[in-house]
Amino acid sequence: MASSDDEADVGPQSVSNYYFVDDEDAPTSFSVLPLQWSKSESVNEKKKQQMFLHGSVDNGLQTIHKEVTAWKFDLLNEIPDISVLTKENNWIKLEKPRKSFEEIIRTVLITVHCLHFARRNPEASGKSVWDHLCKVFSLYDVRPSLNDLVDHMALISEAVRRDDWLAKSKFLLAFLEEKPRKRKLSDEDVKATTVSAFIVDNVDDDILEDAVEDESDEVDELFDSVCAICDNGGALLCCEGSCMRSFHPTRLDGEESNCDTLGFTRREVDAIERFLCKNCEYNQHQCFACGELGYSNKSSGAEVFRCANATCGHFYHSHCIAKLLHQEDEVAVGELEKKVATGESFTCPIHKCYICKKGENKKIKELQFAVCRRCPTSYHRKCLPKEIVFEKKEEEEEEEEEEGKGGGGGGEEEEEETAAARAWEGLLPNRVLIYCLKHEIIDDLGTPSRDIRFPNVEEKKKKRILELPGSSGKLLPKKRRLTSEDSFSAKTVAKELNGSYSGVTKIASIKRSEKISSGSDLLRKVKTNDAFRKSLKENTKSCSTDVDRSATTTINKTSLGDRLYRVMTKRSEQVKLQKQVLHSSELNKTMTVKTSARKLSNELPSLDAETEKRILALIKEAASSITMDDVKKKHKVPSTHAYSSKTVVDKTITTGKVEGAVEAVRTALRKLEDGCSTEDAKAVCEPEVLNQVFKWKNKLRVYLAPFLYGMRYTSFGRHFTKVEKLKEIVNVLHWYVQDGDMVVDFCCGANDFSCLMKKKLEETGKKCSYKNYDVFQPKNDFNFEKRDWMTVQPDELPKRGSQLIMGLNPPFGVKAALANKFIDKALEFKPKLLILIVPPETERLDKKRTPYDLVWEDDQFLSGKSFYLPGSVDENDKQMEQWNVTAPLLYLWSRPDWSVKHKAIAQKHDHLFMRRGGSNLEKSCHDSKSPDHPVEVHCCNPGTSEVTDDLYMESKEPNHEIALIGGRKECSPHENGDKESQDSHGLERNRSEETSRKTKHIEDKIGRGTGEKLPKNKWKGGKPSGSDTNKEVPHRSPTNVVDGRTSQEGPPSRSLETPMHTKVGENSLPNLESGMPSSHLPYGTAYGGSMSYVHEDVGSKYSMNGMEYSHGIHGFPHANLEEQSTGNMREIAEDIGYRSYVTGLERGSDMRSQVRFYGQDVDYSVQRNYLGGLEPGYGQMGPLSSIPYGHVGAAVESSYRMNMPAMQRYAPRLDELNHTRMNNFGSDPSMLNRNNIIYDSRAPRPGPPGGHVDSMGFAPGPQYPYPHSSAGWLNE
Amino acid sequence: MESTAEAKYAAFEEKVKRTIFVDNLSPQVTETVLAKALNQFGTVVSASLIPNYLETGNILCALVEMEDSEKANKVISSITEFPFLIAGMPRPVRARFAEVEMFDDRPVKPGRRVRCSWLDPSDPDFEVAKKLKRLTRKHAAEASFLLKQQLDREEKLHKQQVENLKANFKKYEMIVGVLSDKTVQSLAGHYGMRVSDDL
Repeated sequence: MASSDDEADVGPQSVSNYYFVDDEDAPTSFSVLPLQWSKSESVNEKKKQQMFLHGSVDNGLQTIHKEVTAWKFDLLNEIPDISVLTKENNWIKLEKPRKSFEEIIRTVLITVHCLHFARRNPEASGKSVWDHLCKVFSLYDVRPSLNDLVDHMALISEAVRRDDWLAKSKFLLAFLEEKPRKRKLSDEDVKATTVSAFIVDNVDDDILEDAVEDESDEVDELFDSVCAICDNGGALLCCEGSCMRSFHPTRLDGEESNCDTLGFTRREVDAIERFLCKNCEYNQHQCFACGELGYSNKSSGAEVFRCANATCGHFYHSHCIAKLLHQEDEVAVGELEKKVATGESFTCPIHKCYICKKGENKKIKELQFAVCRRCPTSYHRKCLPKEIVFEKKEEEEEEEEEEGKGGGGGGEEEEEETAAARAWEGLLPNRVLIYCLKHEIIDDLGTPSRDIRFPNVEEKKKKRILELPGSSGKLLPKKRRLTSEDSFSAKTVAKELNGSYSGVTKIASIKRSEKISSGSDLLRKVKTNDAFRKSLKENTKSCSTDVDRSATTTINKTSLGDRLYRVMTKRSEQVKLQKQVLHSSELNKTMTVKTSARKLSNELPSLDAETEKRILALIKEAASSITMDDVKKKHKVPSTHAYSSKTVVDKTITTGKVEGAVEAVRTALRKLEDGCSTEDAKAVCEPEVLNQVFKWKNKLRVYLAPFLYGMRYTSFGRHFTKVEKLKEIVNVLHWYVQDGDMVVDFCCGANDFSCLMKKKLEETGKKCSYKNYDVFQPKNDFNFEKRDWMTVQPDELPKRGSQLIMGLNPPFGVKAALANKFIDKALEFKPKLLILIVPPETERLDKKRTPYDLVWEDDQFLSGKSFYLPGSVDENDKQMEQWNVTAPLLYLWSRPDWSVKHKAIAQKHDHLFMRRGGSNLEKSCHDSKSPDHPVEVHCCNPGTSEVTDDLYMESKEPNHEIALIGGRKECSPHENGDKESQDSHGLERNRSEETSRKTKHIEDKIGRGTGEKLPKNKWKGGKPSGSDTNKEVPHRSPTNVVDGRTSQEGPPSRSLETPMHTKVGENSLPNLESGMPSSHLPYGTAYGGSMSYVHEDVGSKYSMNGMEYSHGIHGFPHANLEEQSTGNMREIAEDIGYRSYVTGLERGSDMRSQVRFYGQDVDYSVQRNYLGGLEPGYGQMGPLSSIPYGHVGAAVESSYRMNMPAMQRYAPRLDELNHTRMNNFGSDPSMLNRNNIIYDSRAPRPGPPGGHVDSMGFAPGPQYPYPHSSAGWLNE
Repeated sequence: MESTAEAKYAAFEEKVKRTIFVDNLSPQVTETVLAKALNQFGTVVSASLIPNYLETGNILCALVEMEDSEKANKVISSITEFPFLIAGMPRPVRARFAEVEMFDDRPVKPGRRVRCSWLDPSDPDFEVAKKLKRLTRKHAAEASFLLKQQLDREEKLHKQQVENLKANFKKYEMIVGVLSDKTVQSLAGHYGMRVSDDL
């Protein structure tokens, strides 16, 4: 079998950082080279393809560039050696590949390692083999798997045949016995499955996994994921245009199905940002009926028209489609033709079954379509003619796993010579891919003739297609049989097919695989001669020498080539070589350059062409040495941001698809309105499309966030809790800390928390240790470790969980996704206490797998300006402060076995009281305020036209309340005594009832009357958080509520609106000053907002504030767009938003409430704007009447954004709390986004998963008459 | 006299060590902005923009003095590791250690004396001086050429990104358009399906 070096030591012995390229400069695996099995058996086969080895030798001191002709491996040593034979007959051992090249040779490396291991451990089971391989290839992104071996079945079987030791390996024998086929997966799937198969030893992967899975379930369930040319899956490039097609971009990708492909090189593909196929580029599309190209530009004399279906993307001549749709009726044909020609939309026959003329229903298998890829014909599965044969049953299974239907099709043929397979499962999503009986299947393609035409290359293409079958058709079937008997994988089959296409048909009939491949080598060589010459020339050019063409030709080509190669690889020699090559004329030229350079004036000398070229060459070289992978490696992304949705957004959500979908939705609705049947509408726009639209929107929204809100984020998008706030937290927390505990801050930010804790604890005589983690360097190094929290393992901390106290402020993420991750990670350590600042939508710890008990929570503590943006300044060079529109909560969670103790502490030190202090104060001024609230709520209802949604909402919220009250009631005996338990009881109760409540909210609504009574007494029980006050206020006037509801159902009444608004506007000003709890206003304001929303639908465009830069770091915010979207808002913002809250601030006297109102003002100003809109006479707001709510909202933000250039991710967070919560709310299926705007207020927190106290902030107001028994706990 | 100069120079060298050179700043960045931005990694002693006499370009660079060299090191690694944007500018900032030559107010190296004099064209040093002058100019020209190339590339990349962004934004607008005029919702109503805006 393999041998050691048999050549004299000429040249380098080993090479590292290597990679191989073929004559097209595309990276290739050396495994396509012939394999030399033993010394004696020299490689006498002709190579099919030129291949060059690049790499560094002499420990990286030199680089080489050599043509290689063969490879071999040696399994005898400790680790397997792989060597390649250079053209000079010199074996070079391969050390470590270049990182970016690993992926390309992974299969062969894994195979060789597998052989190596199997040889040494013949008894080894499959599991130990894979364990070993996973260890060896631990750095690979994707775990080694059977798929990697499948590619090299031939190699393995040959190795087993030749090596007795290997022949003993149970694993290999079993493997060969099995004859596994490669799983058929599109590339997204591959990612998802392989990643999810990961051993979760690395959190990065874990997170990535989530992200990827998240992606893949979304990835185009609706659109074809097969190549438009060859109808096979694999790595595809999606056209951005309206054709919605995908193509195999490179020859390699299309190899197995003999796809013509787009003929790009891998590098070209990578460089393409937005691919537009030639058809879409030139607006010339093929008619799917007649196949002719026609102009499709609707604005200038279109000949072909696109089917209106959202996912179709086929074009038709008006007469073709008319004929298709009305086959007999000539009058109708004429009419339709005219209509279509004038732009009327139509749906092509694909969307109705050819037999029964009914539409598709993807949810029912029998009603799924089988769609012909060559003409507009579809059948239901149940209607599919018998003649259209599927592949045989056993094959069908593997069809899904098999990479190519090309190979599978071949397999089919051999067993059933009579009928070629015409139908395939698993290629189209929820559909069957067929070729209907009109099309003759060409044997060696496995498909009918492929007639995709592009505008300018059509002639050439067509010819090629015609030629292909003729040249090698006859011999192919035989060969196929052979190969499949040899149990080759689909892929190798495909490869060989390809080889034979190039003409090696005779050799192809030889049985042994290596001979076949060598055969194909032969003919490759013919081609390569040219290619070689070509590459020579290119090299000459690229060398930046000014060598004259004529000079080049006079010099012997090869020798020049060799020299030039050296030039390429060795920069140091370049100049010298240049000189050698340079002719006297060139020398003269440089001389003149020099002389001219002498006459330098004071200006900067313009560079001569020579120098410029030299610099350009340098740039080019430097650029080529940087690969994306290198950059990615260098910039470690925090694990929480490891995934970017860029590719999805760019490549999957194509403009064409979006356009198509949007158009289709419109068309479908129009059709319905015109009285068409739902069936017809569905033919235009499947219900799934609607879901897709929402999904797209969310994806895009998240992706675009930094651009829409660009200026507000610098650096790393953090927000830090203010030191004053931290001090307060520390003051509370230190009671719970015991001597010897360890305080861990998993996202320490400025690292103040630990320092403050230390100070405080030392004051109180407790000695503790501290540990602080963050991915960013803090200003203060106190016990800091620069680590990604997700990578910290529990055993790394010196203390056990019962001595751990963890906190504090994790990054939030979209819908608290990041916060949840951080918390989950923290829970792995089983800390006895967790102190958390997290958004309300964070999953509560009592809902975790290992539930924690809530000691206390506070939703008011962090409202207002509790945060600041590190590294950012406002226009006065002051540190920017920050508030959250919806304040995050401060929680203290306890491990269950410590709960009793901690709760005792909480009680002892009256932490519950402390937390409410602020709100009690505020309470006192309620009485005067409360009348406003019903009014506000009231006025909102007419404004929102989504009657049903609102109803739903409204009725849901009160139910919450009821449930909670129920919980309270039970606890009430304890009254103030045991608030914690009360709290949690109530909450749990609330939770448990939540589901049932949701379903029967209507009934609940009816039963509201009783529900309303319930709370009265119970409120006294002491709602633990300050937000109660809010709830109580509106209780007063139940009748109004009812009014509100009824008016909701009716048409919006203006007369109601205006006065109320004024009222709200005016009244709430005093509210501000007198220190009303924050959540009051937002009710009104939010509703106001929603009203304006109704007026201006545009508003929703801007309602996307609530997004997170999940890919923040990847983002490259661009000012232009930002300007475009927010430009006009800024002015407004300056005028109103900013100023108005500045004044609000000034007015406040009580620090605490002031802080709160500050945040509130955002909404407030919005409302004012709106008021202005309604009543032009209303102060200076008048001119703004046309500003939609969202707009203003954004403007308000942009106002501070403007002033503080270095705004941050967390600024969006402010309104994000707002808006994302809206989104959460949206999870309630009937809840649409714009309704959520209604919730766009800070205090009410209707987080769906929460169902916690705060979630009732909003609704209970109107629902429950509450006779101000607030005194009940004012006294407390 | 001599000793104070030396001490002064030593102090200056210390300063150099704890100073970082920040490059690729957007023109909107001011010294305060910069200082604040870097203050999150460690105490910034001072930050000063370096005036650029050669180029009229819009890229600023600055020297930021940190409390100690260790911090400076950490700042550099932070900035290098994560793309660091100051003032929300699309250009990630670069940072490296400052060098003595970057300070325009650097004290004279003790023991070094600079003497200026006019050279007579006949002086043998005249040619040498001229050569040096030319070389300097050439280097400047080369540097500016290089910078231009680089900026061109950046511009190209930028354009590409803008284009992508616009395309994505367009998609978004289209979708939002069809959502906000409730076409989707009412169609969903017709289909009797419940659509959710939440993933």
